[in-house]
Amino acid sequence: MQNLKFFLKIIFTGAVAFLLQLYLPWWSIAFAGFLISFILSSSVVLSFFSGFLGISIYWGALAFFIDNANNHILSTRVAEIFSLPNSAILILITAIVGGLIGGFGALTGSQLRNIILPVRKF
Amino acid sequence: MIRLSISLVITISLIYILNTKLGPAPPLGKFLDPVNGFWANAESGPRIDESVNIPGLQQPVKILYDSLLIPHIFAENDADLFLAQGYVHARHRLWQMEFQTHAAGGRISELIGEGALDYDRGQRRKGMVFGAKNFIDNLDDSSKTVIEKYLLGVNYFIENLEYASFPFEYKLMGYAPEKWTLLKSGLLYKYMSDMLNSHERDLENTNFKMLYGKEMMDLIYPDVDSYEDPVVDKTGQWKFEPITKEHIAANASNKESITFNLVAKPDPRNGSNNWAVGPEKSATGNPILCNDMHLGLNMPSLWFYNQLNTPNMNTLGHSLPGIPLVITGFTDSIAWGFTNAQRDLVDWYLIEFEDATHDTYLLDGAYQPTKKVIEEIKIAGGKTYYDTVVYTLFGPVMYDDSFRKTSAKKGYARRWIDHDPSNGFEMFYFMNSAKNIDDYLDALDRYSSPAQNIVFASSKGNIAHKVQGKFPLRGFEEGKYLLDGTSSKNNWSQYIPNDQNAFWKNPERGFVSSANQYPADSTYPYYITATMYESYRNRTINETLRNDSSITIDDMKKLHYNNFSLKAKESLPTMLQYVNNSISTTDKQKEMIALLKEWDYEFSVDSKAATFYDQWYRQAFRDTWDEIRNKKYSLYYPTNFSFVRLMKTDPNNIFFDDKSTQEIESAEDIIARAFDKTVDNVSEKGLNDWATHKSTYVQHLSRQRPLGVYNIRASGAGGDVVNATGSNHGPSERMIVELDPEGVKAWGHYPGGQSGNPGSYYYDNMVEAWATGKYFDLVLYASPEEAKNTIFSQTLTPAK
Repeated sequence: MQNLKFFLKIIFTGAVAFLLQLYLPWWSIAFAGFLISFILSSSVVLSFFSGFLGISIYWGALAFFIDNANNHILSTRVAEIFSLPNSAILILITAIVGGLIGGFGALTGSQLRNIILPVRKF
Repeated sequence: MIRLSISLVITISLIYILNTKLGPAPPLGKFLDPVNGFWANAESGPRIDESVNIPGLQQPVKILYDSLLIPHIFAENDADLFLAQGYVHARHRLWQMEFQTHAAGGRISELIGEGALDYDRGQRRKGMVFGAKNFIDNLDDSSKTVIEKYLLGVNYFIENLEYASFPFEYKLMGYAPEKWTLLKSGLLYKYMSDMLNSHERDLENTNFKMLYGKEMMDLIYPDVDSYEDPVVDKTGQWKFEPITKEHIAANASNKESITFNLVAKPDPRNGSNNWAVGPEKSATGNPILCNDMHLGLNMPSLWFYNQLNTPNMNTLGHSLPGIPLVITGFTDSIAWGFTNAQRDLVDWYLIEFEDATHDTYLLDGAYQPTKKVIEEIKIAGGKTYYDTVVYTLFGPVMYDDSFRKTSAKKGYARRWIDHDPSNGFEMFYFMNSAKNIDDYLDALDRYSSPAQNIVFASSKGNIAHKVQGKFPLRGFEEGKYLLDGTSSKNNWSQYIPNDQNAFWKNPERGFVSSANQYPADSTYPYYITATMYESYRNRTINETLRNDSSITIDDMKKLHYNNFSLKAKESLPTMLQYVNNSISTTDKQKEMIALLKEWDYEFSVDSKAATFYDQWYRQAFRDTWDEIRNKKYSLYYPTNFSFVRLMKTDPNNIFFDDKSTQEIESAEDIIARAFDKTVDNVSEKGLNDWATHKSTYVQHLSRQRPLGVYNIRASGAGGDVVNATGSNHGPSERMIVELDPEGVKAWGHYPGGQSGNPGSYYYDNMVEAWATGKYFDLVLYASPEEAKNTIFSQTLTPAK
């Protein structure tokens, strides 16, 4: 049950981030993590990871597909500018940066929920 | 509650940090965001046809992109055409357009900080902005219409940008594009003029003459290296009555050397080749016109191909993003191309201020007020710098006690032809719709700068060449040295009439050509001066064209890639003789001499002899001109032609003496010693083939190495070789046009690609072809229906 919930939270976070980014700047992804972990309860640790994975999978996958369609032309150049060994690392960094914002957003959401909504135990 | 606060603070701080520019690094979160950040610039195919509504358009415009990403723009009228061209330029090249205008107008400190302040001040004081303002304030009517529509197109694109669609470099450097202005287009025009018409050495000449005397000056820096093969050779046939100079300007009676550092001059190798072959020498009977313009090699490329089609014009060729029209190219009946005219179009005047305030200066016996302009130079991460530039009758005072160390009461005013109002883009507008030689001449009459040798060919079988520009009339040696700025009579007042500029058509020899050499034969009735004229490429080109009576397109390609060095042919035997005269013993020395003796003087990709010769020649050149290199005074290097002549005819010239040794050296000693040094160097580091040694590269304008293309294997050599491909300088494009009456055919390439986006396949897709000699078809279509190889289209429609 908890596994399914964790899994759903990851998917929802990614989906909400996708919708928010249609209209809002990049940092709106923090709200995606925040919102999902505010609505769906789980431990703070799991909340962080659901937010982290939700965004990092979304960003990472998107960067990955863009990069493949582009034949790595741009990512190779950018990786070199930042002294990174290859474009794969650049995709990984993209995923981690997004993930951190999503994760901390989710952590904040989950802690707010813990304060204003009573913790229900199944 | 505490936990909540902590995670909230962490989240907000993270966002803040990742959304802020840190030093040279862009805001990382914003930059990496795959939706809007740099990933959004990673292009993928296939492209989708677009339709854009643009206000200000009268009729729909169809833009078809061919497989090289060349836009073929079809409009119903000229106004719509230029609006569309502005839109297309901005869409593909916006960052470069703006960056180059920042460079032109002295605004680089705004982007990179205080390190560029001296450069920016120099640009302002040179009169770049002053000239650009005079240019845009005095446009003729046709230029005005063209540029106003062009601005609309550029700005429509800019106004509809959001971060996601910013060109990559804005994201990388963390700034945003500004609105495009008339001044920006003016600055870009001056950027080209400066590159081509600012090679003057008046101050350096003044120093040299003072240090070494007039006789040495004339020996080392003669007005003419060689009259052989000028652009126009009408010996004894100049039939006009030349105008006479009413007053010869006096040199300044300056007794001090100019010891301060002069700002960097444009690359002296900036130059070009062009030629046209008439029907009688062409294998098909159609005239053929060729052009390649030698400039610094940058990404994104300086040039952008486009076809412009309206009921009034149909032209294809190189455009300069930031400026409307086609600069060099062809129409459905004619073709034209440029080489730089080299002429001296800058003079320097010594100004005598009344006092250190620079409020007044001595002119015609009385103190006259100066005009002061305060230049505001913004500096990234620093306080805005305000520079007061003093203007006189002769132009802006570039060097004074605030910019370089001069005495407080002296200033050096710069008089540049490009400070003057001119006819704007009118010449290009007329050339873009030219049908015949009369149209060509009519267009040229509207052209004043930058002065060019403009070659022409038409499908009616005419070829022509004209040296066109606004040339100040000069008395003997007038304007070669620092002039006296206390008399208004010394200012420019007379100019060579347009119809007396060197021109010829359909000469008997069956071809016309230019390669930055001396413009006319020795009987041309006007005094001509320049920093340098080329004396090698012109002879190679003319010899090749003279000896071939059935010229094909393949011959033209071969001539573009002619790697023969006349400089090597004329210097190496003497250099080898000087080495033989000294005692050479080691095996390595013998090996190198054998290698050089077998050399065919070709700068081909795998030649090791070329590498050795080049290193040796440069070493000898450096060692000879040690007085100039260790400059206590501002001086400059003589031409290669002058150096080779000197080593052969005047081996005991004092310049061959190495100042760092006790004994007195001759050319023989210096060249033999340079040989030893080169052999030592080669023994130590090995001898690479020429292409590896030269290691050609095309550098991104920001100098970010990963955005450029490096280690290109290309033949040719800078300067004296027709294929003037140096390491970071060379043919910025090559074009061949066959003026077939059935339909003009053209081929070309340039070292880059049509897209300015480093995330596009089309960013650098022509580099390989450029390096190896493969040409692409440049096709002029009569209508959109005729267009082939269209990869995608844009339809611009009038917004309601």
